[in-house]
Formats: sequence, C-alpha cells, structure tokens
Amino acid sequence: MPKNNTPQDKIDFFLLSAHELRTSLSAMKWLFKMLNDGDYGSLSDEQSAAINQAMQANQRMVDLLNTTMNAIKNDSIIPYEKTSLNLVSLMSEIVKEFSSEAIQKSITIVYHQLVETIVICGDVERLRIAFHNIIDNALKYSAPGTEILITLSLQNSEAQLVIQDHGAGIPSDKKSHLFEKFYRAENTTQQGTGLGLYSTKHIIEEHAGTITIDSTEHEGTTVIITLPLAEQ
Amino acid sequence: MKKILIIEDDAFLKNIESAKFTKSGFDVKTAMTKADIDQALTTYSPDIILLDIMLPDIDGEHVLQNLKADEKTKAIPVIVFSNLSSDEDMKKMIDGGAAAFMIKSNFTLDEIVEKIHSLIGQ
Repeated sequence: MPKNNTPQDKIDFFLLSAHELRTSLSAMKWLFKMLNDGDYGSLSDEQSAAINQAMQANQRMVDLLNTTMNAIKNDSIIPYEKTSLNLVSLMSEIVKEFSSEAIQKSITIVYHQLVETIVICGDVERLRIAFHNIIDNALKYSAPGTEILITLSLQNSEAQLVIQDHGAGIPSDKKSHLFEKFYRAENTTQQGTGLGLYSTKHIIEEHAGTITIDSTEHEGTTVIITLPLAEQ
Repeated sequence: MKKILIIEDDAFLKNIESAKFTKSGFDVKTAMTKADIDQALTTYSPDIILLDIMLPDIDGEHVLQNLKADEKTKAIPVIVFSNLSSDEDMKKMIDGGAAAFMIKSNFTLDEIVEKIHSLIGQ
C-alpha cells in the first residue's frame, strides 16, 4: 500500500483485498460442498467429517470477513451520512432479505408495522447493518418451528423496534457483557466474531437511540431499540 | 434443458460454476469479455444470466444496461453474482433491473441453483 494515503485510500485497499479474499473463500466453499455431496465420488464417514470441519472453518472466515467489512464501514473514519428516511420501508426491505434464510431454517418471521411511516434522520447503510445484526442473531439462535416477532411502532414520540425470538436466550450472569467488543456467550454453539452487538450498539447510540436486551435462558431474547424521530 | 450464461472473469470460479451447473442439469455457456458476451448472445438464447461485476474490459453495470436496453434480452432474468457488497453496488444493480444480487462467498452453488429454479422454474 502506498505511503501518505488518505483514510479513504486505506478503506479502498481493504475492500479490494476483501474482494480477492472472498474469491478464494467462494471457491473453497463451493468445492468443499461439492466434495461433501459426493460430486467427486463417495466419501467415508471420516472423510466426510473432515470436510465438514473444513466447511465450518471456511464459514468462520466468511463471517469474519463480513463482520470486519461492516465494522470498517462503521468506523468513525467514514463520517455518518444522515438523511431523512422512512424506518418502516427500511425494515420491510431488511425483513424481506431474511425471508429465504428463514424458510430454509423453518423459522417464521412475523413483521408488524403498526404505522405506515416513521421518519427518522439516519445513516441508512449503518442502520441496515445494525438491524441486520439483530435479526441475524435471532435467526441464528432460534430453533426450527419457532417464530421471530418484529414490531415497529411509535412510542412516546420515538420509534420503537422490538425483535423477539424464542431461541437459546442468554444466561443472566452474561447479560452485562453482551455489548463488549469480541464477547461471545458461553452457551453459544453458533459461529460469530463478538463484533455484531458491539457495532450495533455503537450505531444506535450514534443516532441518539437506545438498545436494551431482555433475555431468559432457554426461553428467548427480546431486543428493544428506540430512535428519535426526525425534527419536523 | 434450461440454458444459463455465466459471465465471469475468474477462470477458477468459472470452471467450478460451470461443472456444478452442468451437473445440475443446465446447458451452460460462459463468457468473460465484451466480445465473448456479444458473441454468446447472438448464438445462444439463455433462460437466465449469472453476471459478475468486475470484468476485464466492461463492468457488470454496463453489461446489465445493455441487456435491459435490448428487446431481445431485456426479459432474461439476471442474477448479479459478485464478491462486491457495498450498498451502492447492490442498489445500482437492482435499480438497473437485476432479479437478485448474491454475494458469492455467502452462498453455496446449491443455493444458487435453488435461486435459479425459483426464478425460471425447473
């Protein structure tokens, strides 16, 4: 990388490197899957178990790269670009993006929008990351056949977004660590980087909002986000 | 047999995609440069196109614009299949008429096959 580069040069360099890394990760992901499916001949149980581990390692790298890219987008090095936006439409788009993943996992996402328009002043790309992280967590920790309930409403002149799952929940002694950088709950069996909730809280607070998490182990988790409305 | 045109510049990925889609029952043709794409579209009528964004002598956005501006090709569904993932890239391609934007490293080829079937049937 050349010296005297601007912050934007550094980001561009990182994004280009990430693109190249993803190319190799894609090839590995596809080939491992095809190998495991028997496309290149049948495998013994032991061989199949080894390929499965390689697939998990590959997925961990994909997730890490995705989270790091999001964290970089999040970094204060790129200023927040806040515009007037309709939170109801933004949430509809995000919920739609998760629909095929939910179907694959036999999880139902129920989205209640109690009003048609909620205008806030925000950075759409970063809010997308924040909401994406929360729904992604809910999907990761929900059991097949359960429901994720997403409710967007106006409460006390603020936008309130509630995302409720019936998943693994969080042990009570771990709740205070949830928003720490790189923290991962001990009861998790899911892959992750421990950056998702940390980034999400940062984004919500940059919008003068709040995020709270109410959770009972083995029963589920409710995330409540509030955001101030745009000034009239 | 459904016909698929893969527009991809990385030979390694192109070969894996081609092998997988052929095995999944598609008739597959590949293209990399502008000349390849023009040539492919004069002799082949794909049912669906898988389009990368970073290509050697034309970018995916322009390929999509050309496809959507041509009466002969505008109805062919295009899945943008790239490892770029900025909101700006996604918005540009979806606004330009792409049927879907899928990040390569986030999906297995089986999931892409499923997506293709959901767009053009079995």
